[in-house]
Amino acid sequence: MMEAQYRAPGSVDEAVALMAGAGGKGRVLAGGTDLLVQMRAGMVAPGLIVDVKRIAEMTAISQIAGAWRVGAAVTGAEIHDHAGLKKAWPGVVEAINLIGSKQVQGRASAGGNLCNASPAADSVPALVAAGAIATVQGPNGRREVPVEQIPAGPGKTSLKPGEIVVSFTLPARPAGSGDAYLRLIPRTEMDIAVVGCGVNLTMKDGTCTAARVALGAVAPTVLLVEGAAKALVGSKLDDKAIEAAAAACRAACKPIDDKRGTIVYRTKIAGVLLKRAVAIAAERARSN
Amino acid sequence: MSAATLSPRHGAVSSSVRHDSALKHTTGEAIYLDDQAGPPGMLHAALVTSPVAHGRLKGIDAAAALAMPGVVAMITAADIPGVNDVAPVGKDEPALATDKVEYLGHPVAIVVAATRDRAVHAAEAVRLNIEELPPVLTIEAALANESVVWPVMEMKRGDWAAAIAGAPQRLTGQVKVGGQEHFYLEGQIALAIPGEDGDMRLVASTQHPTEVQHIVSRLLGLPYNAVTTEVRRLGGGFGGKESQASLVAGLAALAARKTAKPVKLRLDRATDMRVTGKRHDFLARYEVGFDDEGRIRGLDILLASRAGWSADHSPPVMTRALCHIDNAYYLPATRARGFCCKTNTQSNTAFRGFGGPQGAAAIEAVVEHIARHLGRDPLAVRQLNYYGDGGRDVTPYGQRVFDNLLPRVTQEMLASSDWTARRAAIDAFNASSPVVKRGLGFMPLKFGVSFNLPTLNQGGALVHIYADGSIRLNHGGTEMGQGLHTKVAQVVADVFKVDLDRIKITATTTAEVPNTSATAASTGSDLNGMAAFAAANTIKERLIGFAAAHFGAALDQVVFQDNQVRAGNHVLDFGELAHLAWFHRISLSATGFYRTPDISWDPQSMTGEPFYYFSYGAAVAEVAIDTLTGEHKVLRADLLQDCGRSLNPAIDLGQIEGAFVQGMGWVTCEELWWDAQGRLRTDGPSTYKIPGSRDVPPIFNVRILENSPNPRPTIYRSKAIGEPPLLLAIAVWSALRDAVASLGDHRVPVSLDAPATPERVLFACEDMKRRAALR
Amino acid sequence: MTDSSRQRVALALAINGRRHRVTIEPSTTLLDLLRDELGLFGTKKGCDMGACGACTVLVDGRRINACLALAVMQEGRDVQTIEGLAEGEALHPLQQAFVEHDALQCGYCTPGQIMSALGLIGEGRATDAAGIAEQMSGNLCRCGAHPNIVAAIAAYAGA
Repeated sequence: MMEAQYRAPGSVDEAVALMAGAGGKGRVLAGGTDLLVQMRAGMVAPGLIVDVKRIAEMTAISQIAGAWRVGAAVTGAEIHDHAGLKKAWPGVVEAINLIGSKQVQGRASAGGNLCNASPAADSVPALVAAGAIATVQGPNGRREVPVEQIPAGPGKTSLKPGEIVVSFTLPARPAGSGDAYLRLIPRTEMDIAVVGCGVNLTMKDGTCTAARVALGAVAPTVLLVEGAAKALVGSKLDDKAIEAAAAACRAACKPIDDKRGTIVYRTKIAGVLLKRAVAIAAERARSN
Repeated sequence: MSAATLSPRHGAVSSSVRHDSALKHTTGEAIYLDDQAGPPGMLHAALVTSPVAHGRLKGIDAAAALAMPGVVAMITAADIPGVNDVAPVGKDEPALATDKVEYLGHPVAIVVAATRDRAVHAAEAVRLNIEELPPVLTIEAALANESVVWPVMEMKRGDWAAAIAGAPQRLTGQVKVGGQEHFYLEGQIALAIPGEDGDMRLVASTQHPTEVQHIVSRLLGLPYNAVTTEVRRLGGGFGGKESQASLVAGLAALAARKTAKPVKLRLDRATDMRVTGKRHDFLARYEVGFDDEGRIRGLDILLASRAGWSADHSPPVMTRALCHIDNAYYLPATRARGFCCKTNTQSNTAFRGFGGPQGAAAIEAVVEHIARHLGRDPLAVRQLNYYGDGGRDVTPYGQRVFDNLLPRVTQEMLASSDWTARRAAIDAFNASSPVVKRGLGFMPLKFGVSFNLPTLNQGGALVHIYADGSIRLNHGGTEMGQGLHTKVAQVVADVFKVDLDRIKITATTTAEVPNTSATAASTGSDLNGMAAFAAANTIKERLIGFAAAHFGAALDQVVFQDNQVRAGNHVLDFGELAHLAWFHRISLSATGFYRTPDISWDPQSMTGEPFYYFSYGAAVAEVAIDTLTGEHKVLRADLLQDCGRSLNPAIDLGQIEGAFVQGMGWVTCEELWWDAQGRLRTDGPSTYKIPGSRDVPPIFNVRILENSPNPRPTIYRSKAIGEPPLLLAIAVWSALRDAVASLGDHRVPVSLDAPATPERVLFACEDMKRRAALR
Repeated sequence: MTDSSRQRVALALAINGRRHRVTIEPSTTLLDLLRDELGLFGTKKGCDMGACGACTVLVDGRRINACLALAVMQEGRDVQTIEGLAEGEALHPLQQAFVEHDALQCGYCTPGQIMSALGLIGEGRATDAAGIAEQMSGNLCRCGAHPNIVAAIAAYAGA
C-alpha cells in the first residue's frame, strides 16, 4: 500500500516513546479498521504504525470501586461478551457494538472510534452520556479528560502530539440508573448514523435526579446537550419534560446537508430519538 | 422446432441442475480475471480522472509522475492510434478527454507502472490544468436548458389531447425514480495482451465481448480480426459491464499498445463508482384523463432521464422506458415523450430492466394517483385498466398483446397471498397503531422480451464432439451468475440425450463465435440456447444419417436415449458412435445460428412489434413504516413469475429472488448523491447501501407460474427471466405509499419518490398528515 | 518491486494448518498476503474497504475482513481460508450445503459468505433463520442470493 514502519510495543510507555520518535508521523493501530481504509484512500500516510494490541492495559476490562475501566483497544466483540459491563452500561455496550459489520466488530474498538473523530461515531454519544473519562498518556505523562473534550471536529482531536488514549473509565453511579443509545441509519447495521442519541439517567422514587444527553452526527463534534438534561432532571419524565428535552435537542443541532440526510430531517430525528432513548433508559433505571 | 421430450438423464431440460460452477464457487477455485498471476512482464494501469465536473482541459503535467519509481508510461488522447471514441450507439464519446472534461471522474490519462500501487500513486501525481465551467447536474437543470444527448423521442397514439380534455376527471402530477449503482462485487477489470502483427487479445469482465472487440479495434485502428476478446465468467454484471466494460478494456488496450506489454487495468471500488455509469434516474410529468371509475381515457407523459455526459445506452434505455409506460394497462390515447438529458455526471447506461422499470414505475404512480383521487382501492383501478379483449389489447406502439396472462397471474397472486384477509387485518392494525403503520402493495407485470432493435436479436454457437464422445460447447453469451452456461449446456445435452457432465462449457470468445450481441435484455438463453440447439441438431442429423447407413437402419430408427444410440437393432454408447463417426470421416463440429423471427421496430414513428413475446408476473408486498422517523421494513413479499416452461426452475427461482431484492434496493435504500460540485459522494459500500441479508423479507414466497409454456416457439417454450422480476419490487414502493395513505384514510394521493428512503417516507407522512387535515 | 528504503518484516503464521514464513512490507494487508504473495485467490477483493465481506477469513476462529487487517498483526496466528475447508475431493459439509441450496449466483461473494458462516456458527449465534440473516449482514451479495445462503447455513447448523 504505502511505505510505513511497524512496531508492536508491550507497554504504554514504550508506545508513547515510539510515537514521540515518529515526529508526528506515527499512527496508533488497534483494530486497524479505520486506519487501513484511510491509508488506502490516501487520506493518511503514516511513517510509523504503532500496534497497541499487545499492551495489556489497553486490552483489558476491569472494575475498580464500582467504576469500569475499559482499555481503549478492547474490541466491540470482547465488550459484547462481557456480562458485567453489559449489565452495568447496556447503552454503552450497544453503541460500541454498532461499530461496523460483524467482521469489523471483532477488531474495532471504542478508542479507535473516538480517535477517528467522526461526528457520527456510534460509541461516542453513549460514552459522553455516560460521563466517561478518557485516560490519555503522552510525552508529558498522563492526564484524565472527559470524552466530550477529545473530538475537535471531523477527523480532528484535541490530543497533543504523541498522546494516545489508553482507556476509558465509566464512573460508579447510584442504584436506579440506566443508559441507552439509539441511532437512525438509512439501512442495515453497517451504516453510519444520520443521528445518534445517548441518554444516561438516574431515577429516585419516580423522579429523575441526574441526566446526561449526547447527540451524534448533528454537528462537527458529538454534542453534550445540557439543556436536555436540565429539562429532565427534577421531572417525573412526564410528556412535558420530555418534549422540552426533545426541543432542546432539536435546538442544539447544527447539522449539514449531506449524502445521509438533510438538516431538516436530522433535526426532527434528534427529537424523536431523544424521546425513545429516554424511555429505554428510564425503563432500565427502574429495573436497576 | 420439434417438441422436446424429457428424460431422466442427469441435467435434462426443465430439471433443477446446479449452476455449472457451483462446486468451484464454494471451494474458491473458480477463477476470475484478477485471480491469476498474469502473463510475464505484465504491467498495471491506473486512471487519471477529472477532479471537476465540467471544464476546458488546458494541459497535463506528468513530469513528477513519470519520474516516480516503477512508472513506465502515460497515455493521453494524443497517443490513440485509431479513433478516440467508445460510443456503443452514437458517436463522439472519447475514451480519454481531449479539450474538455465533462464529469467529475472523466478519464483523462492512463498511467502504467510495474505494480498497481505505483500506477495509482503516479496517477495521483499527475497535474491537470483545467479551466472550470459551470456544470449542469440535474435533470431539471438540463430540461430547463434543453440540454439533451439525443433527439427527443415521441410515441403517439390517437388524439390524446382531446381524450384528456373530454374525460370526466383529470389529474396532473410528477414522480421521480432514482438511479442505481450496479455494485457488481467483482469490479471492472480487463487485461490486454499484445500479440504479433499488432494483434491484441483482451481478457475482460464484460457482458459484451464483441463490443470490446469493436471498440478496441476502433481505438487501435485495427480490423476486427486482429482483436480477440475472451471471458470465462463475471463476478456480476447487471448491465454495468456492457459499454462500461468496453471503456475499461479499451483503456487497457491503449496502454498495452503504447508499452508493448500486457497491461491489467482494475478499478478500485471508489474509482469504479466515480467513473462508470449507472441506472438512469427518471423524472416523469404527466396529465391523465379518466372516467369516474378510474378507467384511463388519455395520457400525456414526459419522461426525462439523466443520461450523463454522453449518449452511451441512453437512447435505447429511453425507448424501452417508453415501451413500458403502459406496463399492464391499456392506454387508449397516449403521447409519451422521452428526453435523454445531458448532465455533467457519469454516463448512465444499461442496468437490468434497461428503462423498463422506470417506465413501469411511472405508470404505477399514475394509476395509484387516480385511485386515491377517487378514493378507490388501487388494486381495483389497476384491474379496471388491464389489457383485455374487445380492442383493449394493443400497446401504444402498436403491438398486440397476444398472450395476456395478467388476469390469471393476478387471480393466482391474490389467492396465494391471501390478499383480502390481509387487507382487512392491516386496516385493523392501522386503526389501533398510532405510530407504526402497515401497507399492502400490488404490482402487475408485463415485460417485453427482445432487444428493441431487431438487429441485435441474433445468437451463435459452436459445438464440437470429439472422437471419445466428449462435447465442447461455446456460444455467444457470457456467464455472470445467471446460469446461462448451465441452461445452454442442458439444451445441448437434451439434443444428444446425454448427461450434462459430458459437456465442457468454455470461455466465451469472439474467436469461436463472432458478431454476437451483448448478454443483455434477458435474451441470453433465448438467443444462445436456440443457436446451440441448431448447432447440436446439425451434428445430430449427420450422426443419424451415418448410423442409419452404417447399421442399415431407417433414419427414423436411429434414436438417441440415455447416453446411448439405437440404430435398428444395434445399441451403442454415445461415445462409441462418436468414435465410429470420426473413423468414417463424419464432421463432428457445427456452428449454430438463431435470429428471432417476426419482430420489427421503426424508431422514427416508434411503432412496430419489437417484442417476440411478453413475460408476466405479479407481486404483493407488505411493509411497516415508522411514521415518526420514516424507517421501514418489508414484512412479507409474495411473487409469481411467468417463466414459460422453465429450462431450469432452480436457476429461475434464484433469478426471481435476486432480481426482486435488487429491485427492492432500487426503490428503497439505494440512493446516489452528488454534491453541488458534481462529486458523487456515495462512492463505496459505506455510503451506498445495497440490500443485505436482513433486508430480505422474513416471509418470502416465490413461485414460478405453472403450466404456461411460451406460445411462441422459443427454446423448449421457455421464457426469459433475467430482468422481468426486478419490476416486481415496485410492489414494495406501492406498499409504502399504501402505508402513508393510511394516514389520510386512503383518500389523499401520496407523493413519494423513489428511492423511498426513511427521510422521504417521513416527509411523505408529514405531507399526508397536513393534507388530510385540510380536507 | 522492492525498495531498499522500505522496511521488510519477517512473519510466521499458519494458513490452513500449514506453517508459513514470509517477509513482507508492514503495510501489506492480510488479503494481499494471501492473494499476491501466497497465490490463495479464493479470498476475494470486493471493496477493499472492509464493507462487503468478500474477503472474510477466520483468524483463530474469528471472522475478520482480510482487507482491513495488516498481515504483520497475524504473527503466530492461525488463519483459515476457503482453500482449507475441503479435504481432497470431499467438500466441507457447509460447502456441500451451499451447493445443494443453490446458495450462489455469480460466486464472487461465496467464499466470504462461507467463511463468515463458519465464524458465526463458531460464535454460537446461528440460532434460527432470522438470527443467521442478522449475523450474515456483513457479507454483501449483489445477486440477491440471500434466501438460499441463509437456508444453506441453517441446514448445516441444524438451526
